[in-house]
This record gives sequence, C-alpha cells and structure tokens, in this order.
Amino acid sequence: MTDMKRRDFLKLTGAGAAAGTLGLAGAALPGAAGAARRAPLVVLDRPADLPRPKGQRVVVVGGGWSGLTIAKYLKKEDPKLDVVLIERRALFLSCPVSNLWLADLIDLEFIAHSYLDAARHNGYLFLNATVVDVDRDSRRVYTDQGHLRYDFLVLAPGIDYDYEAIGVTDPAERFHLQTNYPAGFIPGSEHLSIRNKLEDFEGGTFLLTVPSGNYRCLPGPYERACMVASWFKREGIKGKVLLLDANPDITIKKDGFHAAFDELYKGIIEYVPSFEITGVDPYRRKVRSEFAEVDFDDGAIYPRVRGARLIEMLGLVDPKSPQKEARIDVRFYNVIGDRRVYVAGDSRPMPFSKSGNTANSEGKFVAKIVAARANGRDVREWQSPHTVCYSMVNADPMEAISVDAYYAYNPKDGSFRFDRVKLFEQRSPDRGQATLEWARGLYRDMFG
Amino acid sequence: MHRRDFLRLCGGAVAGAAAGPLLADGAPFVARTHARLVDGEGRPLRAEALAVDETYLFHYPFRSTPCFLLRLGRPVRAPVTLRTADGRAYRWPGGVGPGGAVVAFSAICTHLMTHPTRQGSFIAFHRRPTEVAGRPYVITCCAHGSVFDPHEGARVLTGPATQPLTAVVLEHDPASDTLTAVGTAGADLYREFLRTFRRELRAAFGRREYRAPAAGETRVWRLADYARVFRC
Repeated sequence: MTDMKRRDFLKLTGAGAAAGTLGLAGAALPGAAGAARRAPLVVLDRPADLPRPKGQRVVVVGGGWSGLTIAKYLKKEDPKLDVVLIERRALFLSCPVSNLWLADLIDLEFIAHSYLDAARHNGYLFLNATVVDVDRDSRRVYTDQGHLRYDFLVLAPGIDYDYEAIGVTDPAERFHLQTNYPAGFIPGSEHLSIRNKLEDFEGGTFLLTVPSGNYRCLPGPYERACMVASWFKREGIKGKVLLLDANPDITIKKDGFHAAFDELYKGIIEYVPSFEITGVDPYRRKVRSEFAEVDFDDGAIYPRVRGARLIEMLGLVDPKSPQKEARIDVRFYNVIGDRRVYVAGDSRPMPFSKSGNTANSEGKFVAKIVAARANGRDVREWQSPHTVCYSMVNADPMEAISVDAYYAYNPKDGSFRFDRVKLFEQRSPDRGQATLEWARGLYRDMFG
Repeated sequence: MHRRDFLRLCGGAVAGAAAGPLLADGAPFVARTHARLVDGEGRPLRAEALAVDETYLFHYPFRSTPCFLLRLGRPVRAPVTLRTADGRAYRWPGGVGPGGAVVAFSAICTHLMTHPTRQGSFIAFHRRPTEVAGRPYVITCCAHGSVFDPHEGARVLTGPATQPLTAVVLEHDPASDTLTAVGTAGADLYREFLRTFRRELRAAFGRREYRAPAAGETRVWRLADYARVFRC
C-alpha cells in the first residue's frame, strides 16, 4: 500500500467518507486509532498496475492446473489476446504427486514451480493478487492490487473445504481442526504441515479420511494411506494408518489399492469403509459417525469439498448443486446467459474427476472456446476432458497403478458418464517411473 | 525411399541441404543437414543388418534430438496424407530400403515431448501389446498414453497427442545399402524441445553440441542398449 495515493484511499472507502471512521483502511491512516469503525466498501478503487491491454483482454482467475493451462493455451490459440492470470499464491505447489513428497520419494523442487516462469515462457501477465469481486456489467475484476477490465473472464478458483458437511460448525473448532489436522488437498502450508507431522510422528494412530461426494483427487486419500504407511515401514514407526472412508468401498482403482493394503501394508493400514463423519472433536482427537467414535493421535482430516467460495460470492452457484458448484453451460463452460464469463476446473458442476490431468485437458478446450468466441467464431463440438491418474502404492521400489478415462455426454438428459475407461491395477515399477514422467510432462506443459 | 519419392514429397523443389519449408503450399517438410547412419564402430549401417521389428535409436536433426529407426515386419500403408495439429497436411511416402520397410520417426512424443534418455525411455515401439495400447507393433508413450502407428506415418491411434510423430526422411542407397537422414516432415517441435530440455541436454550432450545439427554421421543404437525401456 506504500504507493497508494490519498485520493485512491478515499475512493476506496466510498466517496466522501471521513478518514477517521474507516475500518481496515482507516487503521493505516494517521490519527485513525480509537475512532469509530465501519467496513470499507471497496478494497482498492484504482486500476491494477498492469500494462495497457494490447488486444482483447482475457482475465483468468486461479493459477491451478486449470487456470495455468487456460492462460497458456489462450495465447497459443490467439497470440493477439491479452491474457492476465490472477493468483493469490506467489508460488505454485502441485497437489498431484505431493503424496510422493510426503513419503520422501521426490524433493520439494519437483512439485514447486514459478508463476513468473509460466508467464514469461507463454507470453501472458501474472498478477499476484486476490480477487475480491467481479462486476459483470462493467466487466471489471476487483483485486487487492486494484481492478482490471476484461473482455472475457475465466474463473478457475478450485475448491474450498466444507467442514459443516462433517458436522464441524463452530468456527473455533473448525480453525483448530484446519490448523492441527489439515486436509492436505489445497496445496501449500497444509502439505508442509502433514510432512512435518510424519517426520515427528513416534507411534499410535495416524488418521486419514475419505469424504463422500465428488471430492478432489478420488484416489488421493488411498494413495496417501499407502505413502504414509510406507514411511512408517521405512522409519520403523510402530504406528497404524487408520483410513476412514465415507464411501462403501474404495472409490477408484479399488483392486489395486486393496491389493496394496493387503500385500504391502498388512497390520499398518486399517481400512474402514462406510464411515461417514458426523462430528469431530479436534481437542480430544475423536471423530464420530452415526454409529461409532474413534480416537486418533495425529492425522489429516479431509472434509467434503465444495466449489470455491468465490463462485458463491459472485452469485454463480447452481442452486441445485449439493457441492455449491457453478451454474454453467456444461458443454461450453460459459455462465448461463453470459458468454463472456466462464467457469472451469474444480468449481465446474460436471461430475468429472477433480484432478490435474482432467483440468489440464479441459483447459485446452476452454481456451479454444474462448479464443474462438473472441474472434467471432464458435466451437460447436463438445470435447471430453481426459483423466490420466497415477497412484503410487509402493515406495521401495516405487510402484504405481493408474487409470485412463474419458467422458461421454448424453444430450437427452444433459448427463455425463465415464467412457473408454482403462484401469491398470497391477502395480508395477515401470508405472511407478511413468508417474514421475507424467508429472514432468504436465509441469512442462504449464510452466514451459 | 527412392529419389523420385523424395522429390514428390518435397513437391519437386528440393534444394540440397538448405533448411526451411520447401513446399509452395506450406506443407511442413524441412530439408536438413544430411547425416549418414552408422553403427557403434562408425561403419555405415546396412539396412539389411537391421533386425525386423527391433527398435533402434539415432539422433537427428540435432545431435540431441532422438529418433526411432524401425525395419517393420508388417506391411507399410503408404503413401498417406497426415496433418499437423495446426491443420497443415503433409504426405508420408512410406519406408525405404529392403521391402520399403525401413522407417524413421522422431522419438519425441508430440503430446508433451516425452522422449528417450540414457535414464530410460517411456516411449518405444513394442512388438507385444502393452496394456495402454492394447495391440502389438505400435509406438506407445507410457507417460500420458498416446499410441502411434509407424506403419502409417506414426499417425495417432489413441491418446492425447493431436499430431503424428514427426517423420524423418531417409534416403537409401541401393548400391551400398546405406541410409542417410535428409530432412523431417510433419510437426516441428525442435525449437521448443531444445529450449525446454536445454539443461538436461547440455549435461548429456555438451553445452553447445546439444543444439548443433546432426551432420555427417549419426550413430544408431539398439534402443534397449541405449536406455531402459519402460512398459506400460
């Protein structure tokens, strides 16, 4: 805020507001202390410090696998587009393959990448900012770094956790839970904390949970159980991985995971299906279902997931969506009635896998749609995302299983189903190595 | 390939080893430096000495850019017209040498540039069906699941790749039974490849050598001797 002008500051608070009556903003002004406070109306009412647009501007919100791919491929589809990627994190940390890092199979550099590299290699602008609002009438995105106009807007803000769905409604409880037993499916501090937990763990029950619904990375919790168990084996930790699954069985690649649990981690992984969490006591370390209460010593509790709160804040949630996902044209991604605004990635309402390869392949299609429409053309043929998903089940040697699938659209009822599914559930060292090359390829695609 | 085929491929506008697109209609053929294929002792490789359906590797058109060399045991279906991802058509004339069965393609996957290195190869021609391909005698990239048919110009059979593997144009001298790489046809990923992998390529091939054209001679390896081949 050092270069913000006083004039901007006043605008920020609503025209004519007296400086001494401000909340957040007022606190930064001399003489504000002790004055009555009220909430600021707008965070920063001035243009973000960006170069002037050289062509039609496409603003992409969210620098995950979806947003990064869309930003890059918009420029590939039409180099004349002026593309801005807005992301609140300053460093990219990959959720896919992060379980391998938890088990010390790869180093942090493997999953950490630079947004600046992505932007400079692919000819778009990276704005390190947090989006706070969008005005679709004036086509303006508001961020904590100022606002910017768009010709087209693509929202790819990912997921948020839904703790209420597992019976955690008290904010103090939720914060305690999030801080002490983070889910580890929104990358960053959560993953580092879980790794530290494993490093410090000396024995007892390490709890992992699988939510119901279409959660991010279906095989992720099962892979994580394998990786944590492999860590216990390697370090000689007398511990148990307790995997409580809200679903009646493993949700994907179940034969491969069951084989790993039975053959590699017998006595270490205890798998409990149909355990729908209805409450958590994070202070006494207990989780409850309708029928049972279970103690744990440490762990990572994965609640249900929902579309990112930004989607709800912008009034774009489909009222029929149980996971608060966006209401969009399920084939062509635009918000219903607004072909200038799109939602992609894990806030989409379609039942696609919420996973990296899916978001990446989908992103290329979304870029094609937006670039075509920016040029007065249209894309008429729907294109399926492609789900390629490896799961490491053994650490020594590295062995993986995988799935390769597309989706089919039923125009009669607007539904989707899996299509051309290939399951590779016989774990193998070659597939273990291919897991790494899969990830390298995708990082090359997004950052190279 | 006979000289006549080569001329047809190039639209009758071959200009020696000069680089650059040669076809007036923009078809993506690039004539490049000539590199004779030699064995580990530096002797010109004889096409007849190639084992049928064995995967060989050489580097072309740069010293660090890997290609597959195959003497196919099943009929080649050629000529075929193929398209790059940006829609440009090109004609793959088929194989050269004994029975017209010797073909060469870039070993850089056109999806995300997975390629053989000394540490291993996720992309290879497999005589036996892989789980990913579900059929024998195809080139499969295990990393992301693209499958290419070398009998038809390495067109995409399944998977996320949106264009064939780049064809390497070979000349065969019937008198000496030797092979010379003279150009490429199809997707041109080389600039992107050299930029993306420059760190690894510098370490493996030398600081400047990695981006030098493969000129004069280029060594042919059995892929299995060059790298561990991963199956999927």
